[in-house]
Formats: sequence, structure tokens, C-alpha cells
Amino acid sequence: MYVEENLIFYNQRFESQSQLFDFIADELEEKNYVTEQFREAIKIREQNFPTGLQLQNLNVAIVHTEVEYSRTEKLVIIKLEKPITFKNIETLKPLEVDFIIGLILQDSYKHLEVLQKVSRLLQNEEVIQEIRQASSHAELTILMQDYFNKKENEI
Amino acid sequence: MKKRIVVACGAGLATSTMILQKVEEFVKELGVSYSISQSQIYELDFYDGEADLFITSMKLDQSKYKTPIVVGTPFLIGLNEDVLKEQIKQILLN
Repeated sequence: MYVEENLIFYNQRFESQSQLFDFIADELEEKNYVTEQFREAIKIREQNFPTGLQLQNLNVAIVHTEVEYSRTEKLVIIKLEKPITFKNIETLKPLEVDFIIGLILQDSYKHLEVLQKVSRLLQNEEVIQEIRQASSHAELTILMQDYFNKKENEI
Repeated sequence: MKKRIVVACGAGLATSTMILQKVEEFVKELGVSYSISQSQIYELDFYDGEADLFITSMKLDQSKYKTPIVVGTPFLIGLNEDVLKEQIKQILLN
């Protein structure tokens, strides 16, 4: 399963992007899902290739690294208590991001399916609305598990 | 002549994969004969001048490349897709 309850975080508060990445790295290292170099790699990658996306009603960052730092395939989902400044992937201008999707990907054919789902999620006004309205960890977890663990033809 | 399209993003793995699918759908619709590949942005130099179109996840400085570049983000988020499709159409049909 891509979505694990303990990799979904609700109302998490960070003062900076770097603090957010350290948090993600701590969680993933503890579970042995990433290598030690992941922490630096994800920070540098975001600097060089920003991932902030401005949707109609939500600003999302899809943070990730090159595959060599991943030991598994998972998603990290974080709804932020207060926005963190990222850069817009398209314009490279600052963007206040409210929602983080961390892609832990390996170089396998498998990741196509999850990327398709992420891509559809970004374009699914209904799910975005539900994300905005989710008001507890349990609610966000059910929503994400429902969405990502559903079969392809049910979306 | 086959049109050669390269879809590129930072790691050449996530964003470009999401964009690629939609590009293919649209180019098929156009009825253009094409080949498409995926790369990392820093590898674009290698295809520059050879490819007919670069579709990238982020804005690049067009003056540094011979191949025309469009930003593929609309395919990622579903906004302003029509403008992007028109740009692609102009480049591939000319």
C-alpha cells in the first residue's frame, strides 16, 4: 500500500521548508524507507527544481528525490497548519503551500500507477475540496486511503 | 517526418511522467506522427536542435535552446490546458 496511516500528518506546523524536510527525513529514516542521503537530496532538489503547484483552491508541493535514495514506494501526506513558502514549478515565483505530497519512488514500472493517481487528484476538484475540509488526522487518513487504495476504474 | 518530442522535469521521473501521458493523448488527437521520450532537464542540451519540441515542468530560458520549449504544467493541474494545446499544435504542425 502506498498510503500508510503513520505517514499521513494533519495540522503539522513548520517554520521553514528545511524544518519540513528534516521532519520527513526523520520519519522515513526511522522506518528505513530511505537512505541517509535522502535528507540532503530532497532539500537540494527542491532548490534546483521547485515543485510548488498552484491549483484552483489549494497550493500543493509534490516533493521528491531521484530514485536512488528510496528503498520503497510510499506517499507522505502532510496537511500544514500554516503555509510554507515554496517556489511555483512553472514561474519559479514564491508560492504559499498548504499541502504536501511526498513521493518516495523507485525505478519500477509500478510508480506509473501512483503518479497517475496523484495527477488525477490534482485535477479532481471534489477531492481537493475534501482535503481542504478534512479537520482531523482520521478524516484525512480515510480520505487519502480511500482515494489511493481504490482500484483504477473506480476513480 | 516524425516529430520528436522530449518531456523533461527535474528528476525525469515524476512530473514528466504525469505530463507525458496527456501530451501523448493530445498529439495522437492531432494525428501527427511522433516519437516521445522523457528526460531530466539537465539532459536537454543533448537533444537540443535535434528534437522538435521540449515540454518541461518548469520555465526555461528559451534563448539558451534552439528547440522550442513549452511549459507542460497545465497538463499536470488541469488549468489552461487549451492554451498549451494551441501552442503545441502551432509548433508541431508548422
